[in-house]
Amino acid sequence: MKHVQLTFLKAGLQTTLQDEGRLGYQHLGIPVGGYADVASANSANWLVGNELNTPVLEIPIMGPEISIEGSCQIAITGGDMSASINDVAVKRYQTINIEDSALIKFGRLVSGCRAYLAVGGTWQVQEWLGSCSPLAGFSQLLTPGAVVQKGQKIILRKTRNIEKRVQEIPILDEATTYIKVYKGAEYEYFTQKACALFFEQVYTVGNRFDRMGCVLHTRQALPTLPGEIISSSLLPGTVQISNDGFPIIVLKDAPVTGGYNRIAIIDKAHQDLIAQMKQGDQIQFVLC
Amino acid sequence: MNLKKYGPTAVLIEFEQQIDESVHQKVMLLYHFLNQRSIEWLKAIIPAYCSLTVVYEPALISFKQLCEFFQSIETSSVKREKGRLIHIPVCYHSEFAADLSAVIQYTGLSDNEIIELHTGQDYKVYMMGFVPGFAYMGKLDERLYCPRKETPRQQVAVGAVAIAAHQTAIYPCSSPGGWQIIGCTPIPLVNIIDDASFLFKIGDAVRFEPVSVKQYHKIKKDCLNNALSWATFISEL
Repeated sequence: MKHVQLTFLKAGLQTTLQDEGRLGYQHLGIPVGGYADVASANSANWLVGNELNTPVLEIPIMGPEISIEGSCQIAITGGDMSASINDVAVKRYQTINIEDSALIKFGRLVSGCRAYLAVGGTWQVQEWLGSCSPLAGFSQLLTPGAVVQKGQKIILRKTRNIEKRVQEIPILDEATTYIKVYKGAEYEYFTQKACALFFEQVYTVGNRFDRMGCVLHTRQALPTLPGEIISSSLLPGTVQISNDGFPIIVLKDAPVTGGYNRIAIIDKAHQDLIAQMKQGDQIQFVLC
Repeated sequence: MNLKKYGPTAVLIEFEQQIDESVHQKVMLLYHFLNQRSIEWLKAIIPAYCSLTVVYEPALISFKQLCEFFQSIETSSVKREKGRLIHIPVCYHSEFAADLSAVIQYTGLSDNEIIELHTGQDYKVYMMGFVPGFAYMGKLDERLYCPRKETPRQQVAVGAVAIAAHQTAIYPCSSPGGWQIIGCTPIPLVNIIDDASFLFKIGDAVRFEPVSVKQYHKIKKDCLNNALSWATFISEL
């Protein structure tokens, strides 16, 4: 049985192991977690012949430096982070063959916000409640190894190579990204003026953007509702309106309950687009 | 009971919007009803104070069918679940009670009165949320009512016991926190050895019991050495 070993010479900013997450534990206050950009993660796995839900490395903003030992196939998808193998730039969205060993590096973030690195094979990683994704706040205790540390090693059991696959590289740096939403739980309580404003305005992602979500800035605050709701569920993709009238988008690692009014919820596929947005990126909401 | 779409794969079931035992009973009945059955289309349940969100598989059931399903539920068929009473030792000494003076100022009560009121009744875990293992407990005695901190703390102590509005809770990890801290528990709320991993569940009854600083440190040490397990602090209702 052949093995592949990944050694992290550098960990990167916040490189994590992710799979589809752990659905069905929200009643315990446990967020689903899992791939922030599902489409990119699924593509990465397909490009190396892995099944859906196989662990991948999710790499935001600043990437790791990985020494791979063992022949294998890898693929890089998601944002363009100037990936290179043995100091030669590599293209995303294609199967890449590694013979014996290689050094993977990431450089400047050119587009998007996070890259995905899949390696063909069975990842020998720990799971908790059926998922290898880290649990924010308890990562060390319950999901050790899920947030990659410098010096960490990950072993994979190799599977058979597949014939080269290629996928069209999605465009990630539109001037304004249109985000499809459905009406949220408290949408009907907002005034017509507030709702019209919600869809008219262009929003800019602020300096807080991560796996929990992002805060949006815009010219005009929305006329808010008289109070908060009594804490209720918060599904990933929910757009809340804060007490000062600005939208907050909630993503995979966000708390499972909250008190801000829920004006909308983002279409699942478009949540993937949000996961690729960073400070300064612009969005506009469109009603499904 | 009001049913609303919460996106294309979830339904929000809302009861009277208030934090109230009788309203919460309705949430609990529905929660137990769903948990006691094997339902193919059910993916997740998120119970809260006065609402319940159900995440479903849209390929197996439509929103219209879901509404019919929930409207026709016979709650009399729900099996009574065994209740648990969790005894939580708390040290209310000033070294663990960072916001005690703020609470004294706001409520006009003395520190002893605050401790008496906080420990003087049993609470119910209304829901889990905020961070894993964080149990929203209520309802606090009216006299203890005080608002959240204007500026939340960046990091609270693990085990910090806090109050805000009509609720009380314990921080299971060192997260940011905006509630008023009046004490600390030496028991860990997360335990990798225990199957459940987190101590609290929705529906649990909770009783706070004051301990001295010395007792606090002893209990903390015993828990770390596994001389004390969660079972010690749990009794049946």
